[in-house]
Amino acid sequence: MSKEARFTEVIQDNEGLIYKITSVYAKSNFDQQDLYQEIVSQLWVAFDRFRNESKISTWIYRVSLNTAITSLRKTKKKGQEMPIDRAVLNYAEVTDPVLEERVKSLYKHIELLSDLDKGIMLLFLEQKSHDEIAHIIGLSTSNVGTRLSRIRNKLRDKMVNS
Amino acid sequence: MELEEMKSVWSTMSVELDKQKKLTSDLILKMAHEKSNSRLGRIIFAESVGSVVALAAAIYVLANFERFNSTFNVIAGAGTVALLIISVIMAIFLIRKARMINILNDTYTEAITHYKELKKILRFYKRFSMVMYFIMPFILLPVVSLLVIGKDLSTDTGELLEVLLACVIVLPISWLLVMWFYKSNLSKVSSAFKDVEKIENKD
Repeated sequence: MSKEARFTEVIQDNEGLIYKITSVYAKSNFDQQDLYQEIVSQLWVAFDRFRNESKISTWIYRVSLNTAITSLRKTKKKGQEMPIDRAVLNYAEVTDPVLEERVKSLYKHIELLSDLDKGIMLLFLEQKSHDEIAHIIGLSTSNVGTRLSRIRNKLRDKMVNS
Repeated sequence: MELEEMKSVWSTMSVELDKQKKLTSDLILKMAHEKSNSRLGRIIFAESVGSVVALAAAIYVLANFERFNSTFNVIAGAGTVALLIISVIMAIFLIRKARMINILNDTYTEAITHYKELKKILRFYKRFSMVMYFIMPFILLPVVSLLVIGKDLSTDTGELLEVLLACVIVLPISWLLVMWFYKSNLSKVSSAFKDVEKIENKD
């Protein structure tokens, strides 16, 4: 199988994962599209260096989160062009109005977090263990635990104050 | 919303997402195409809005032409209409050229030819706008002042000079911002072309 074919297969298997990362970090439809393409470009460039030492999804999380955070820093001054909930629903095509509302509320909560905490939160929501999150993000396991606990408190405070 | 509740919503959304596989096997090329397309889309959008505004402004000035009661104001009014119409024509050229770029459907040579043509127009646009920024305050300000505020600057030279001085400070900044917009978007388009070139060279 050629490199192109293998890469295509990997991306197709993980397109939802990349999509979720872009939906958390991008501020508008344009930005989300750009970020998605940027991530796929970076994955393509780094594909030769993937040695099967970790799970492919772990590698994708790491490259994608790094790309998202770096790209976000570059484009931070651009401002918001479209609320994220619309961008998400464009792809997710959620037909259940109750779920739609809950997804919107979920993204509003994530929006409150810092860039790094968004990544930790995303991995937590993806059911990753503290060890896995630490491995992907590059923090110690105890630091991940502390940050998750702060995130929990922050969200709780926001809920009480709103 | 508690973390556990968030986890459950996320998981339901993930299931929905997994059902919606959208990407095809010509992914890299498509990504490169979309990278250029979304950037070109911004240029096309900005130019379209600009040309509609310029056209509306030209029509408004023409409709109020009888209000220009001095030679200075008539020249300024005619100059403004001419400048706005030239801007619209240039925007149409630019949009046409930008729309012609299609990395996915064209051959690499065709797409790069269209891209070079777009860059050529933008180079002209840059030189033209630089010259215009020097001339513009003299023709545009008296017109705007007369039609919007109702103040005739041709009879108040002191105020005209003050406004022109303000323009000397503001206009170069706005010109730099506009040029930065085109430069940053075109550099992304250019990087999309490099991606395609890499793929073409591999085949």
